[in-house]
Parts: sequence; structure tokens; C-alpha cells
Amino acid sequence: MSIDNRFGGVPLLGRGLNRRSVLIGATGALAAPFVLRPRGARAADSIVVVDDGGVVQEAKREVFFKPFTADTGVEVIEVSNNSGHLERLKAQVVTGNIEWDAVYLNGQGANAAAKEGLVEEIDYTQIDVAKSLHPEWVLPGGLCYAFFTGGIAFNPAKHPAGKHPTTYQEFWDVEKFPGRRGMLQRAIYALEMALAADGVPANEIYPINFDRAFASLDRIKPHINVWMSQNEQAINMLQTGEVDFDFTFISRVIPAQEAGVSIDIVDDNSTISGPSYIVIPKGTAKKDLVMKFLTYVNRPDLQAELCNRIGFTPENGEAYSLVKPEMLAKLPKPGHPNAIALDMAWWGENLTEAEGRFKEWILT
Amino acid sequence: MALVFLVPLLTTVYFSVGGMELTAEYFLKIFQGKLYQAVLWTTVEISVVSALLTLVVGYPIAYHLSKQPPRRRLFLSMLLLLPFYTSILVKSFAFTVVLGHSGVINDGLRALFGEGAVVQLLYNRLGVYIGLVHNLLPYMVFPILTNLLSQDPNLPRAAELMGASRSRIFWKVTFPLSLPGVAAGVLLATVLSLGQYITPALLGGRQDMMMANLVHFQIAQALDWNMASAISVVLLSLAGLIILLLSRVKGVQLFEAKTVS
Repeated sequence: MSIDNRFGGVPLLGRGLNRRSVLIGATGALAAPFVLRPRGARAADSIVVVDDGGVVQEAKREVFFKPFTADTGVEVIEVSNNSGHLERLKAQVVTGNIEWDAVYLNGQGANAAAKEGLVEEIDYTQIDVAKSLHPEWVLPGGLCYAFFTGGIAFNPAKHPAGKHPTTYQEFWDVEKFPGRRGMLQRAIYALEMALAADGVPANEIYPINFDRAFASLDRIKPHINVWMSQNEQAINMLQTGEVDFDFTFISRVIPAQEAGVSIDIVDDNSTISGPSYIVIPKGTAKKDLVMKFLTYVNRPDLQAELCNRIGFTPENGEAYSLVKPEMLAKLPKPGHPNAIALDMAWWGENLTEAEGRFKEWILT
Repeated sequence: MALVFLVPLLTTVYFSVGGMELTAEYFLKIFQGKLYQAVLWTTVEISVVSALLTLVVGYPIAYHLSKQPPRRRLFLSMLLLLPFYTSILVKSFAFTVVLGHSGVINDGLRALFGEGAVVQLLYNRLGVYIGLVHNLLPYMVFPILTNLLSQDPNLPRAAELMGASRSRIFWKVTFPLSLPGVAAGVLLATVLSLGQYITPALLGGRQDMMMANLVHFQIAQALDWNMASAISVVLLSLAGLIILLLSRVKGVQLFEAKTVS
């Protein structure tokens, strides 16, 4: 991932400096900005879609973009931007210089964007979300099309069944399951893990009791050898033997397994799932086309196909019967009583406070 | 030029006081919050120490380079620039393979002396310093090298004729004359490491959080750009202060250097 792009949110830096923005800059002094919308320079029947790049975007190109273009003739202009969607989205909306028409965001990002008023409302008369697995994730400002599930990952060659923790209570039990441990260095997921480890049932995690969560985290703190700041580190840590058990996502474990890495992730009893959204930047002139695009993103057959390719778990319940059995076996079973689903409404309200407390906690 | 630099800078300052509200709220949060104080201190400590460590590692390299024939020097300089062209994520992976718990060094120690000899070289402060020195080395070596190459070769020769030993020549002639280069290198390294974010995050421990990390959180996750701007202004002022201090020191050293020569 390119870290250098991280701060390039302003139009004069990073990718913002292109033919269009130069054109706008040169003529902006002469004409009112709304006359010179960047889209004026673009073909009328195209939309700009922003995603993370890499295998994920390649899969979406085949699964969503190509059928959409083939049916409608609307070209999908892809932007790969592996970090910093949210701040660039804000910069575009705040400056009124909208270059993007649809943006893939995680749950925290989509909720923050909606809260700040950076996104258009999804027209749910065009999109049927009645079969959504998590009705609480249906957001006025973003379409949830898939979700990610995290859990405890380990190396089965080193830690066969019975030698690795399968629940967060066992992850916290360093005597019964000796081994080096890694966790993500962020409040989201860590607080849920801590409460589950302390015996809170999956359906009673929210609203998060900070005191209880941090007291539980205090117990595991001396035994965490690596606090990972990037998701990308988790697989490498297990691969190089830096840690024995860490928290990562099924969608990262599957490609690693396919690449021949000895890695596995425990199922069902230790899963934490979070939504993945697609949002429409506020002020885009292409909302109608994007809505049409979203009907493709919501199609069960296409969601199943995306899952078959890269293991993104479909949010549309109708997609499940179309997923390959061998892939289905690797995915969490919907509705399992121990499965934790991130409460995005709670996180939307409490992210800043939780993150601040978590950062203070981790420094001491 | 001034426009390109000044407009974003002034915008940042404008954001940091809450725009037209002209509030000190965000700065108060920084100076009163335990989190910000701890992180500010960590940031200063990491920057200063890593700059000094880079000097200790970089000076001998620059000295060695200055003694090489030009073609060889060019080749070695290019090797020195290699870290520039490598992504930090790839580098951090490579660091784990060499310095990690099951890395080359620790596997060797384990084979020779048993499990007790294993040393934790990454995911702590040491890991941050290793990563930063690796990153900052070119910024230290090239200013010193430029200085060493521009020194009058007659000076050490004269000292030699007067019967000075090689170490005496180095400490009394070459080193004092190179102090402006040293000051420039230290300055660059300190200021650059002040803004470091990803190296400490990838190679450090839980306590090695930098100010830039908090800026990123405020910009990208909390979307609180006022707070992010206020932290940036503090960071920028800190960099300014360090430049000011070092420019003073540099002047003094320059003066002494002249007396020696």
C-alpha cells in the first residue's frame, strides 16, 4: 500500500493534480466554479468508482463493472486509492470539486461520511434490501453489499486443534494456550474482543461498557507482543513466526491459503463482522447512473460471484444459495449465537471518544 | 511559489483556531490532554535520538565515501539511496525476516545460546530507531559528504607535516571543519523524523506513537480537521524551534572551526 498517499487529500497534492484540475485552476478565476464542473470534460455516460486496488478491485471489475458497462454502455472509470478515501471525499465535497461518483468505504468510513453530510441518500425504491442479513447495517447514505469477518488466526502446522485458542476467553488465557500474541492497534475490534473475553454474550456487547472493556484489556496487555497498525501485517506476522496467534480477517486468510501459506482462522465462536459500503459523494451529477450501478452491486448472483472469487461475504441473503460449497465452508454461518456484528450506530457516535481512550490506554 | 506554500499553510493555521471562531479550544486540548502531552514528548525524544544515532552511523559512512575514488563513490552512494526506493511495508516485512523473533539474528542466537539469548529488536523503541536510522541515513550522509569533499586537502597535509597523528588530524582539523555539514544533517534528520508516522507505527511498540499518527487519525477517521490542523501547527512550531536552536549552535561551531583552521 502506498503510505505516501496518505496525506495527499488536498487537490493540489497527490492525484488531484491532473489535466482537469489544472484546467479548472487556470480558468477558475474567470468563470464561476459551477460552470466548470470537472465532469464537463468527461464523457456523459461514465462514472468514476473508487476502490482499494489490488485483487479486490480486479475481482470487482470482472464481477460488477464489466456486466454493468456491457448492459448499459456506461463506462466505469476506476480509481485505485488504497488509503484515504474518506478525507479525500471530504475535501472534494467541502471544496465543491467532486471528481468521484461512487466510493467503496468500510463501516466506520461510511458512517462518518454520512454523519458529516458528505454523501447522497441511496434511493431504496430502486434497490431491494429486504433480504439483507444485517438490517441494522442498512444506511440511508450507503449501500452495504458485503461484510468482513475477523477472528483469531494461527498456523495449523505449529498449533493444531486443541493447541490454539478458539474463543476470546481462550485468547486471553495465556497459561492454557501459551504463545506470542498480536492484536490490531485500534479501539474497534479490540473493545469487542475484550468484552467477549470477559464473558459478555455476543448480543450484549453494545453499548460498550468502557470500564469493563479496559479492565479486560489490562489483563491481556502484558501478553501482547505486537500491536499491529496495519491489517497487512497480520498474515506476515504468522508467516514469519513473529506471533503465534493474532486477529485478522477471513478475506485476508483465504488468499494467503491459496498462496500456500500454512494459516487458518477459527470460525463461528470468535467472529467479529463489519460492513463494507458503497457511497455516493454529495453533489455528484451522476447520481442516476450510480443508482443504476448499485442495482448491479446488490444483485445476488453478482455478490455470490464476488464471494466465489475473493471470499467477500454477501450481504444480500439471496446470494448464499449461489456461493460455491467449498467457499461457503470457509465463511461464517449467518446468525451464529456467538458471532459479533459491529454496531455501526454505536461506533458512529463513539468512535472519537473510544479511540481517544484506547490511545491513552495503550500508551500507559 | 509563495502562493503554493503560503496558502495551504495559512489555511491550516486558520483551521487550527476553528476558522472565524478564533478559539484556542483545540490548542488547549493539546496542551491539557494527557494523550497529547505524552505523544508530544515521545515525538521529540524519538526525533532527537534518532537524528543523533543517524549521525553516529552516518558520519563514518560519509568519511569513508569521501576517501573513495569518484566512480566508486558514485556506486556506493547509489547503494545508500536504495532504501528510498523501497516501500516501507516491504521493508518492515524484510526487517521481520532479519530482526524478528524468528528472524535470522534470533535464530542464530537461539542455536548458539538457547531460548534465553533471544533479543527483542522490533516492535519496541529499538525497532523505531533501527527503522528511522535506515530511513534517514541519506539525509545525514550527503550533507556531511559534500562538506568533507569541499575541505581544502592542504589542511590535513599541513597538519601531517607538523607531525600530527591521524586521529589528531581528524579531531582537530577534519571534524571541526565538517560541523556545518553535521549541523545540516542533524537538522534534516530531526525535522524529518518529527513528521514520521508509518515507520514507528509498523516497527514500534504500543508506546511509540507519534504526533503525525494523531494528525492522521483526526483527518482520516475522526474527520476533525480543526484538531488535525492544531496538531500540525504545534508540530510545525516545534520544527521551527529546532531549526532556530540548531542555527544558533551552527554559528558557534562555525566560529570555532575557523579558529582551529
